[in-house]
Amino acid sequence: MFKRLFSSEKHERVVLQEMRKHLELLERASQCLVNFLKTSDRTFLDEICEIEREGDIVRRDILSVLYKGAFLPYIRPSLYRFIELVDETLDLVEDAARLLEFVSLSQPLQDDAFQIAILNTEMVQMLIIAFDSFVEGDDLKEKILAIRLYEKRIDDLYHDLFSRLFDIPVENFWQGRGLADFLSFLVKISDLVEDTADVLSLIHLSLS
Amino acid sequence: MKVWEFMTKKIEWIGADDTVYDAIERMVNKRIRSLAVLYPESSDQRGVVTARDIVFKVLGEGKDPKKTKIRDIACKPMVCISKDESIERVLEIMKELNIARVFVCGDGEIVGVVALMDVMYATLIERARSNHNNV
Amino acid sequence: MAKEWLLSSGLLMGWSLGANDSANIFGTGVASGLIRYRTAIFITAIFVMLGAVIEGDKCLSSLKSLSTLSYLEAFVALLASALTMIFLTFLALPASTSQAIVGALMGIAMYHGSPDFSALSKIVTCWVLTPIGGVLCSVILYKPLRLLLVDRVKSLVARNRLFFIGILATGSYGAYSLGANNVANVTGVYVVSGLLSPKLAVALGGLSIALGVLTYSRKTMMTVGKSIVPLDPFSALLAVLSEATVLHVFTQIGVPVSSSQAIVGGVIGVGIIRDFRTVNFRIFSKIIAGWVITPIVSGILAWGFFVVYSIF
Repeated sequence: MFKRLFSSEKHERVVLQEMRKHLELLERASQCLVNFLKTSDRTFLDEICEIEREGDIVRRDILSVLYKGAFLPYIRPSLYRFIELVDETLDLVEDAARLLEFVSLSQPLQDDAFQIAILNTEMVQMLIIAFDSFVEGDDLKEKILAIRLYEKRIDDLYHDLFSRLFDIPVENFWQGRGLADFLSFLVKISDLVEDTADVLSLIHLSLS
Repeated sequence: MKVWEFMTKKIEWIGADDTVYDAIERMVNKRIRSLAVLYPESSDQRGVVTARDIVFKVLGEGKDPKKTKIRDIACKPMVCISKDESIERVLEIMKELNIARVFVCGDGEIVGVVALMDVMYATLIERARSNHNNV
Repeated sequence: MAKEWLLSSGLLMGWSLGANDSANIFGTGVASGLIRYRTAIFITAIFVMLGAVIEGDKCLSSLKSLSTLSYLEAFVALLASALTMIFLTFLALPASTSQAIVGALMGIAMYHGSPDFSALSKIVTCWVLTPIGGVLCSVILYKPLRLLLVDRVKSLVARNRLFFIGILATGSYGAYSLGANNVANVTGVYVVSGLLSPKLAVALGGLSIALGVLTYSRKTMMTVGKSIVPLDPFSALLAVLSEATVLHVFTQIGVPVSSSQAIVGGVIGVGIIRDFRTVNFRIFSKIIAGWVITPIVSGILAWGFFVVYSIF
C-alpha cells in the first residue's frame, strides 16, 4: 500500500496511454475497412487482421497494469468494460472485413455499406476526441451527443437498407447469409462505439 | 462541413397527378416528411411536397386527401444547392425562404436532400470537434 | 491476581468496539471500492491507538458522574456492555458502545437505588446532537470542500489520486477521533473505580480496540458500507470527514458519543445536498432498533447480574 502512495502516477498514465493507443488501432482498422470496401484490395484485409492482433496485445498489457493496482478499485470495473468493448469492436471490424472477401455487394448496397463504414470511422474519431476530454477532465456531453447522433444516423440508414434487402436476389444461402451478417456487423460496430462512449460518461460522472 | 457529408441520399418521388393520400401513405411507410414531385408534362420540372403542405393545405382545411392531387399543393420550383456548399449556406437559405429542407443537386440531377435535423446533426458534430481543438 | 481478570471484560469491550465501529469509518470506502479492506483495517488500528493515547482521557469525567463503582461493578458494567455489543455485532447491527456502557452504569445505579438522571441528561443531549452534528457538518463543508478540491483538480489521474489520498486522510482522522472519543467507554470505568491509572487505561483500551478492528470487523464493514448508500468518492470522503469532526468535537466537550450515529448523520447530510435517496430505509430502521435496544439490554444485564448475585 505504501508503494502505491509513493509510486506517483506512473501506472495510471501508462494505462491511459495504452488505452488511447487501443483506440487509435480501432480507428486505423475502421479506415482500412472503408478502403477495402472502396478498392477490394486484399492488403487492407491483411492489415486489419494485423491490427486486431496488435489490439489483443495492447489489451492484455493494459489489463496487467490495471491488475497491478492502477486507479481506485472504484473505477477499475468501468475501465475493464471500456477495454473489452474496444476489443469487441476490433473483432467485429475484422469479422466484417473477412466476410467481404466472399460476399459480393451490388452497387446500391455497396454505396450504403460504404457510407456506414465512413460514419463508423468518424464515430471512432469522435470517440478518441471524447477520450482525450475524459482524461483531461473536461465536459464530455457534447462529444457523447455527437456520437449518439452518428449512431442514430447509421441506424436510420440501416433501417432503410433493411426494408430493401428482401428484394435483393442472392445466388445461394451462404451468399445471402454472408451479406446479412456483413451488414449487421457493420451496424453493430456503431452500437459498440456508442456503448463505449457511455462508459466514459459514466466514469466521468461518478468521479465528480 | 460540406453538404454532401450530411445530406440524405434517399429521395422518394411521387407523381404530380397522384393523390395526396398516396403521398401520405408513402410518407408513413418510409418514415419521411417530404417527397420530390415529378411533373409528367415536362421532364425537367421538379416540385416538393412536405408533411407541412399536407397538414396545412389539405387536412387542416378539411379537404379530402383522396380527391386532392399533389400538383395542387406542391411547391415549385424546388430549391436546390450544390453538394459542395457549407452548412452555413444551407441555414441561410432555410431562414430566408422559411423552409425546412433543401434539395441537393449535381449535374442537373437530384442527389440528396438536407433537412433541418441534418443541419442540427452536422452543427453539433462540428461543435464537438472544434470544441475540443479550441480547449 | 483477581484484579487482572477484572480487566478482561474491558478488553472484550474494546475488542467488540473495534470490530463494530471501524465499519463506520471505512465501511463506505471499502464497500464502494475506494480502498482495500486490509489497508483500511491497518490504518484504523494505528490511528485508533494514537487517538486513544493522545486524547482518550478527555472523556473519562462524564462516566465518573454517573455512578461510583467498586471493582466488581466496573467489571460487570463492562461485561454487560461487551456482551450487548457482541450480540449486536453478531446481528450485523451497528451499535453504540457509549449507549451500552451508559445503559449498564444506569442499570447498576438503579440497583443501588440512586440513578443520577441529571448527569445522564447531559450525556443524552450529546447523543441526540451527534447525528444532527453529522448532518450539519456535511452540509456546511460540502461547498468549500468541493471548491477547494474537486473544482481545482480536473484531470482523471489527478482526481483519482486526490480521492485515494482523501479517503486515507479522512479515514485516519476518523479512526483517531474514534479512539479519542470511545476509549473511555472501554476502560474508563476502571479509572472510575481506581483499578487503572488514566494513562494505562487509554493504552490498554486503545490496544484492545485495535485488535478488534484487525480481527473481526469484516462482517459489519460490509453491511454498513453496502447498505447505507452507494456513495461516490467525494460523498464518501465528506461523510467520513463529518463523522471524524463530530467525534473530535465531542471529545473536547468530554462526552463519548456514537460513531455510527455520526456517520449516518454525515451520509444523510450529503444526501440532502445531493438530493438523492440516501438511506436504505429498511437498514435505517434496523439501525434505530440497535440504538434503542442497546442501552436497555445492557442496563438489564448489569442490573440483572447484581440481582442474581445478591441472591447467592
